[in-house]
Amino acid sequence: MFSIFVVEDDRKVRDELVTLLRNNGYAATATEEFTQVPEAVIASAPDLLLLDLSLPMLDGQLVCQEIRRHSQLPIIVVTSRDNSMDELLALERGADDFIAKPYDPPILLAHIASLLRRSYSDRPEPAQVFAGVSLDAARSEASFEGRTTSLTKNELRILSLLMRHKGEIVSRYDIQAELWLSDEFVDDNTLTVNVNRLRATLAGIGVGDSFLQTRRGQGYLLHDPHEGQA
Amino acid sequence: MSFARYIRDKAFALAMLALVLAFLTLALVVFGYGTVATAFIDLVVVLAAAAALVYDYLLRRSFYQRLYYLLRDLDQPHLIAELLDRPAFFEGRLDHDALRAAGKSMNDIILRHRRASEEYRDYLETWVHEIKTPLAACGLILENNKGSLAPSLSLELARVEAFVDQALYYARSATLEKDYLIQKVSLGSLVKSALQKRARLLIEAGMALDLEGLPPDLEVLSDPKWLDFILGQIIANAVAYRKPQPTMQLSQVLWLLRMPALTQTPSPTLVQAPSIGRAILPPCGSKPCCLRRAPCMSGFSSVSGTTASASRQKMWRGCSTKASPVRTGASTSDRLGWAFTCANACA
Repeated sequence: MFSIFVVEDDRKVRDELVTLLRNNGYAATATEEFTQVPEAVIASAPDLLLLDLSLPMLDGQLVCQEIRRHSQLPIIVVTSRDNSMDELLALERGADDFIAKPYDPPILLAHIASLLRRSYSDRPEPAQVFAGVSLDAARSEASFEGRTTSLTKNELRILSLLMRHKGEIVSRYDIQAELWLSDEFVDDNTLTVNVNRLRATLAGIGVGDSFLQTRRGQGYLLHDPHEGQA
Repeated sequence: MSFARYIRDKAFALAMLALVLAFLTLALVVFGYGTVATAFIDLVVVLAAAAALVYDYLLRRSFYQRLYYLLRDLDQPHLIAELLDRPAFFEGRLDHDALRAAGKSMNDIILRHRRASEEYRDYLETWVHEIKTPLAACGLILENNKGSLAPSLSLELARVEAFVDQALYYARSATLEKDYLIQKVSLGSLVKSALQKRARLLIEAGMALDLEGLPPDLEVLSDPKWLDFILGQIIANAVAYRKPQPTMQLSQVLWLLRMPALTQTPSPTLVQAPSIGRAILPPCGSKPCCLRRAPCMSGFSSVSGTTASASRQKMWRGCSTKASPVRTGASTSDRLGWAFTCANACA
């Protein structure tokens, strides 16, 4: 599990960000005092830093620079000042990615996931398992009861997203947004086709039809058929 | 100021002079002066009057002539007093002082307004930046508390954000020189990130994207923020005026941004303004052609103001009269009016 440190001065945004990150399988911490941000970040040694540039009493750019002097940890800079100079300066000061407020949460999550993937390619995600189906993202393979099948890029992304939200309904928008952020601009119909193809691929290794369920008007969810019996 | 015009102005004085001269002549004849003496006295009087007139005319001519040419040639006539010397004659001094006083009061007012508008712009920018924090909070709250209302509220939130952005860029458009940062950008990734940023609008609208013809690795010189904003306006309008089964053709959008030959251009390029025929125009009778006048800028430094507005006029001429053209001539016409032409063609 990756840990993420949040530096954000607005209390509401900070709390909600931490909740969002925790809901999506990250360990999230945040600081509530802003006098010694670099020290606090380095002491907590997170896997990724989410840094708001507009902080009370100090310049986010300097914080970024200070942290970069001591650590190579991946930094995503968040700002409400939508201006090119800020962006250039932040990247120059050592930030790895830049996202402007207000962000769409799925898009923020995708930025985080992508930066983590890039930064920790040597630390592959452990295989995710749900209802006997296990997903090996690094090898793009799914297996069930000893049988293994390889997945296409889109199948992998969809299944991985659903696996991360085991037993919850994932909206079609969330799935589409996830695919869009990998430059796969699928429309509504293509998404249906992709999901049906994933279902067929999984059926090929003996996964039952009830595993990937459609909730009309809401989205998709993974269902464990043995859950009720246990 | 011609001499004839000057004489016409002095008609009454000249008439009086003629009357006096006639009376004088009559008196001299009655008092028994000879013809030669009378004629001589008349001549002296006429010469003296003529000399006075010519001197007076020359004095005025240099001042008023300069005033006339300055008025004709200056693009900011309220500054005229700065370029006029204070003349030697009384009326001229009055004129000069009046112009100077009027100009000064005008300058004061302009300065006051400029300061006020700068202050307002700064305030607006700050406001936009501040409003983004609660908007971000709203987005996060909706994401963390997914209920039946969340999807439609998120969509409305995305629209609010688009409008807030519009206000920011409109405020900035007055001082482009401070905001523009022309750099080499990959057109493909810029378009893709513009689409990703507006994913919610596009996906909820059921928009299909046709990325055919989008050059994968072409670099152009542009200001990425502004180009992103323009694309955002086109996207927002395409969504607002979409057909039932909408497909947005990105190649068409790029073409509308005056980038038709992109696929053939191998190196970083400045884009020429092509002539745009009526082929791409929406059927103006059937649909609102110019519904939205979203403020936005031509994103390419190379599209000069004149060519851009000239070719736009060409476009408008193909349009029915119902579609009122953007104000022509002024640079504002290049700032305004991109988005709505594009929207219909895409939708």
